[in-house]
Amino acid sequence: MFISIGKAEINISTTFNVRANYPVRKFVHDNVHHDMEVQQLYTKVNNLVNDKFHQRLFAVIKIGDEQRKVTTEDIICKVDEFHPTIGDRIRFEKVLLVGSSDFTVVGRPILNPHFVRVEGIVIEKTLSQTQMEYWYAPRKKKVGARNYLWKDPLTMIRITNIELLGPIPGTNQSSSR
Amino acid sequence: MSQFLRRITSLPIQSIRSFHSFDEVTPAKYISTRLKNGVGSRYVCQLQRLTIQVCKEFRTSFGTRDWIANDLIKFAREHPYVVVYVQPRRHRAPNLVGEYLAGDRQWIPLSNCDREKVNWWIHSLLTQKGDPQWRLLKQMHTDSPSVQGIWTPFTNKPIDRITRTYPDKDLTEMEYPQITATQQIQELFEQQKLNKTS
Repeated sequence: MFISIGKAEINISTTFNVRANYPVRKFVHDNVHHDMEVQQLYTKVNNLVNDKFHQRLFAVIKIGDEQRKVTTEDIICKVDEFHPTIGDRIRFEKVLLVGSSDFTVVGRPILNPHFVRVEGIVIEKTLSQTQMEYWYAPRKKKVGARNYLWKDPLTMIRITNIELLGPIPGTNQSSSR
Repeated sequence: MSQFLRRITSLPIQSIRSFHSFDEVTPAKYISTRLKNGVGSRYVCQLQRLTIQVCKEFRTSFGTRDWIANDLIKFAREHPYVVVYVQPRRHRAPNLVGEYLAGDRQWIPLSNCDREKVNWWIHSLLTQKGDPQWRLLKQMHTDSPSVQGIWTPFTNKPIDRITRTYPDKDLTEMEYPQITATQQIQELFEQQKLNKTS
């Protein structure tokens, strides 16, 4: 878990490698200073999360190969075959980022499913307009012009709710660790 | 990937069955729904009436007859909100007509389709909203486009950048807080000098 507001400080201490004579720089977290700074930030964000009347949330979710930025009550279209039918409720497990107007929580690479829940409902499964790909080979025999016609299957998904289920995991207020 | 393969390989005929002329330009639209369908995880099926026109004798409607014999009752039980009519027509091609909640109407010819394709078409009509085909302008729709505010070049930057006179010394020092390459070389040169002398 990583919060975008805080700037983690990294102490660079020089140690001498045995094989090479030149000094190799090694990254070591200055834990004391880091914790002092970041725990305040964690408590601030956790207080915002516990507040029930917080602002509208947005999230970045992964559907198939692509990532979408969504808020509640918006429609996204998936241009591929998709197994769930109309009226099916979906929970999106791969949530990369969640935020409101005051804070942003970035997962690396995804957020804990006990921390955030993004749900959607399939409202429509249609076909796209008829698309054509025209291919023409003038000099080849028996292979003149070819038309490829197809329609892409479209799936419209409505995002019903984005919820924060508890404090950020890995902090003092959370039960884990 | 699957879309790419679909373009190269021979395409399923079932997906381009309905008539389409390339002379007319298909209307372009944004994604929309009827009566905010799906908000609050509440969904209303848009298909209201389904008419299957079928011939009892001709070979062209063999798959439609199979579907009616085997799957019709199951379909009607699963989807009680859809009214299904079977309309026998002698010596004519089988058709599928769907009528929707907003008053739209979809028509699909089913001649020479087998049972699976008939089933596929009926379910495709069931899951649709009913509007005629249209070009997809955007793959998403939002009522609240930005939560944290639209990004500008001046977000999270000091305000007095506009009032300064450029080139400004403080800003250049902020951009290059570490020592520059020339300074590094100068330091190395001085160290070498010291080593040689000592």
